[in-house]
Amino acid sequence: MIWIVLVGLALGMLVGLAFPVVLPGAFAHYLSIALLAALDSVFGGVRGSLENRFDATMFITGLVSNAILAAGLTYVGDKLGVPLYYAALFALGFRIFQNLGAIRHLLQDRWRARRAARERPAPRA
Amino acid sequence: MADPPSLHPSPNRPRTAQVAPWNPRSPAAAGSLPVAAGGWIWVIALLAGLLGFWVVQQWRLQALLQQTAAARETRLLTQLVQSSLARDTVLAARLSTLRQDAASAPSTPVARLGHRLRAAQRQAGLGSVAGVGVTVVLHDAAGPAFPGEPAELQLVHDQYVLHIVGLLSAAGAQAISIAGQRYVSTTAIYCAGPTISVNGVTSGSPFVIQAVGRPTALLGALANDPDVQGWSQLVSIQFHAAAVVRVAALPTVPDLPWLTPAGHRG
Repeated sequence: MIWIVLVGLALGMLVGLAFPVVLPGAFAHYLSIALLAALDSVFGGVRGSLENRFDATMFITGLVSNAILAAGLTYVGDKLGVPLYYAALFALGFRIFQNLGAIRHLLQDRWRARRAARERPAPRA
Repeated sequence: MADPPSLHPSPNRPRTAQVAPWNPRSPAAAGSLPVAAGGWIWVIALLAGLLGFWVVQQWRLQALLQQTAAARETRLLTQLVQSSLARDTVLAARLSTLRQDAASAPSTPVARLGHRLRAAQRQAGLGSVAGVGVTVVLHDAAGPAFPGEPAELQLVHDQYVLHIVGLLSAAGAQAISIAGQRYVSTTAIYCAGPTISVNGVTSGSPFVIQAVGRPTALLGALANDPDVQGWSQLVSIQFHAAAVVRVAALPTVPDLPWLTPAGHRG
């Protein structure tokens, strides 16, 4: 079923490439931090699915609300003269790398478990 | 969002107990997300599409922004270069106009001052001049001396030169030189043995005096002077008119540290 998601991603990228205009430059700051929040959610979701505790509603609401909140907080911070952009950048970036590390650990565990399962039927020397 | 579990599982915990054995053919292992409700997959696909669109758009936007910054910088530099070139052209045109004005218009103050400066330089002997005038040649006595005549009477003395220069000035000479030395207000003419020093430069007989002025007046003043007539008996004094007499300039501008313009006190 993941192919539906991958097709959706590829379609979105194609549309983005073919889109006649790009997003307004004035929003680049906020859109980039929102994008970072969305990516954080995606990696969190991947990790959750590898841990078999992926919750679709949690994922979707988390993705949307995180993106909106990150952009909104950055905007408010800019208006208040507090560069929350960097705080969001640091927090989200840190979490992305943390999630990446967890995903690597989980994949490695799975690979080892699979190899162990394959070797189990073989007679022991 | 899933709450973050510990990154590293505790070592005493069996690893395979937590993670189900991975089977490529099981629905969970086929990469598919264990979606609780099947309808959510479409929402996630839509979100994935949105995310892909967004990433690509952001990518393009950043490229465009960088391109824009570079283009803006280039345009600014081009503008600066062009404006300075235009200013150069304007200034060059103004310079040539001013030069033409200075050269052609004698009524401008600078031109008037230049005219006065050139006249003053002529008068001060700072420029060589040429014109119609007379040439006077004084020569020590060439013939035998009269019996009992003192030797110094056979020499040309500074007073002869001084007297002749005075006569020529009085007759209206406009520029005078003695042995190539320009006669000016600071000129000293004095004897130094058989030689005469003019402007500090010593020379010997014959002494050539050149004067620019009306020849008839100059020649008349010399011919009618009794002193010149008498000295002509002792030494050789010859004078004649010349169509072109060249009078040299002072070699250097005289240094006059004691002189200050009278308008300035102290």
